[in-house]
Amino acid sequence: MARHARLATALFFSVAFTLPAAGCRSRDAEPLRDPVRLESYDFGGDFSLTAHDGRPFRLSDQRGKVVLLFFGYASCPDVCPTTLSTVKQVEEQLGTRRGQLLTVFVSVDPERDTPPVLKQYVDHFGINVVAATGAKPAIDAIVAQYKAHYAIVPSDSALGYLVEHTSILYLIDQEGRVRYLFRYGDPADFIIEGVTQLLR
Amino acid sequence: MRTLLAGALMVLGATSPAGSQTSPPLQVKDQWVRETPNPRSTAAYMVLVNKSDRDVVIVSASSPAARVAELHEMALDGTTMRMRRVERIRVPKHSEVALKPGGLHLMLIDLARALPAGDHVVLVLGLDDGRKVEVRAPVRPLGSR
Repeated sequence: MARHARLATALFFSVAFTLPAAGCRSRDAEPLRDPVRLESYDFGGDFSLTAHDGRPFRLSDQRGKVVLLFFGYASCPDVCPTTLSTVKQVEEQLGTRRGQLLTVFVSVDPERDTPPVLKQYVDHFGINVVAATGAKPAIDAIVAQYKAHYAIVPSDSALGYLVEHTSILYLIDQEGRVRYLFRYGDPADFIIEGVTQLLR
Repeated sequence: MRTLLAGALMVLGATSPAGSQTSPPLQVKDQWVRETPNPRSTAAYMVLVNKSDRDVVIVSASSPAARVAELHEMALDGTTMRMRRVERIRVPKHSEVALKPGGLHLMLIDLARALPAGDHVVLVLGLDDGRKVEVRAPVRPLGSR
């Protein structure tokens, strides 16, 4: 009996201390796993940058739309194009509701990613997207705001430098709150599950 | 030329001593290049097959489609994708090494032009014994994995 009591006590404490604080998550940007259970994260928020069409872009002007936010760069060989292609599948499956979804691609390579470069890049995907750039301090502030990470890494590569970056796709609701963190490689079906919960 | 050589493999400039093996030390399969809307850079992927009795080491890469080709590796560290240049890629004897999205790849830098899906690109791998292995790779859509 004593053994059972100890086990029960151990189980109680292990559950009690691994449950997230009710309704609000404040830890670093770490994605959850399925099923998609929306959360309210205490990081994120509004920001202003320049869009790929050269016009000012402000996230809070998008209220009423569901936003998928991603940090990447136009010469990214892998994560960025596959993520944006997954978003294209999401849009296709949303059908008539696709207009309620906006993807925001924030460049973490402001030196190379001028608005014309970003325009050429995102036009290729045929999705409802704003690619945004700005001065490095502004980018840094947004990256910190979303508990993301990026680094310009010096290299002997002919590329001059390499870029590393968070691969999370942030799901932001119609009020501008971060509600879910999708991982790199999450399939379109999984992302749609989160998006449609917000569209209801 | 395009269809004739698709998927073909050649060993060029064999510099090993007379009488040495004549079969390719390294076979390449499933090679492809990611479509790119801008000519700055893109990645090439393939599976390297070494059926020989010795390790094969790739020490360089080149392509007529790009000013520079380099060996790179990316890796997911938590949720951060990191990239680095590597000096060589070793393919141990009787084994395969996959160059694939999220891992090892060839980085093609300063392309002569943007590469649309459906196009083809010649890739040349330089081995540590001086041999070169040439393959012709199709360009696949941006979202390919």
